Amino acid sequence: MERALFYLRIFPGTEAEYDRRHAEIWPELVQEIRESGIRNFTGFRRGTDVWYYGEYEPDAATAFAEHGPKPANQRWNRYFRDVIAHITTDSGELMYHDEVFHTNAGPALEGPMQRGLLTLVIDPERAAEYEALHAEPWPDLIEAIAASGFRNYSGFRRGASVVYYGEYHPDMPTVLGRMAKHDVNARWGKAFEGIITTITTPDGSLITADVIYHQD
Amino acid sequence: MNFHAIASTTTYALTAAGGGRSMVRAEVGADESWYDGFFLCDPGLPHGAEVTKVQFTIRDVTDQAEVRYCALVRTGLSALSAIQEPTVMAQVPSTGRVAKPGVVRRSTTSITGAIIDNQKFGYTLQCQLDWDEATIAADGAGIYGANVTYRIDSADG
Repeated sequence: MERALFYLRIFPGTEAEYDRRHAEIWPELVQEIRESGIRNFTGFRRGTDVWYYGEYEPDAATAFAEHGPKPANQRWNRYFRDVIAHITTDSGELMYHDEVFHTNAGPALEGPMQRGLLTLVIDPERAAEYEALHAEPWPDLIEAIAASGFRNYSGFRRGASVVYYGEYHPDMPTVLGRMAKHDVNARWGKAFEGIITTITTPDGSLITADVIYHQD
Repeated sequence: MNFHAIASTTTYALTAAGGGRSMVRAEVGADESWYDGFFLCDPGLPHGAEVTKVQFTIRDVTDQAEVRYCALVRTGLSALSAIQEPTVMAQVPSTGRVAKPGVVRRSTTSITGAIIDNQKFGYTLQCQLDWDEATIAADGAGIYGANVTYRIDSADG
């Protein structure tokens, strides 16, 4: 299985229409997505920015190669030509972010869970430092993440943009509040001074995106 | 103001149909449903101006097309712009797919972020000419232009 996250951008003003169409997704398209080996497929939108996290069997390239030509998907792509401004690179590839971090430490948790997405901006010239720190995260950081209620927590980078997908037990505000109380959270944040350039909005809130689609 | 198609696949023409001169899509007969049909225009607004009204003059004489998403949009220019998605400052109602109101002026005085800051943002006007079928007349829907009304103090230049 491969975790993957890609980005697309919609035209300004089309946000409500984009959400409406996904709320009314065609059953035959859902079926095609499943048949293509795509699981836990979740879309998030913040303004005109949209990200899709998914888990792909055996990998994203194979799953999308199978999914691409399917009839409902072809119709769906045409349906969105008036809403999506940018979804592929100049070479026709989806705009994937590369995975830079993943943890699913801790026992499985029952009860309520909220999927969430955080975004931040780094200095692209210091991307190697950002990735090196995340390649060998501190053990006490991983313990704190697990104890706070994060599960299936993954970070992905594309250029200066870093995006974190997570499953928060019981919900995102509670888990982030718990995490903020761990000493290691502040130490970890200090290690990224000068590397992370933007992690909050002007009012000091973390930069999140709303779930606009999900299928298991 | 001069609108232009945002994508090279969206072809366009200028027509005198309906009087005056409006911009219409020109790929009728082709498989145009792949094209987004968005048109943009640089409003050239001066730094410090306060936008008070945005008006589009548009044309829709067919029940198979509409002119929609006509708006003034701003986009952040700084490194922070990664989290400052394009913001619709002002948008006017669509002409409607079934309705065919003819030549109309649609305007709004409801402006978000009305003070122009050319150091932090870029500004564009946009409209989409959209239709379902490839067989309708090319001049069924079009854009004549847009007016942005603003006031500016002498202290702002």
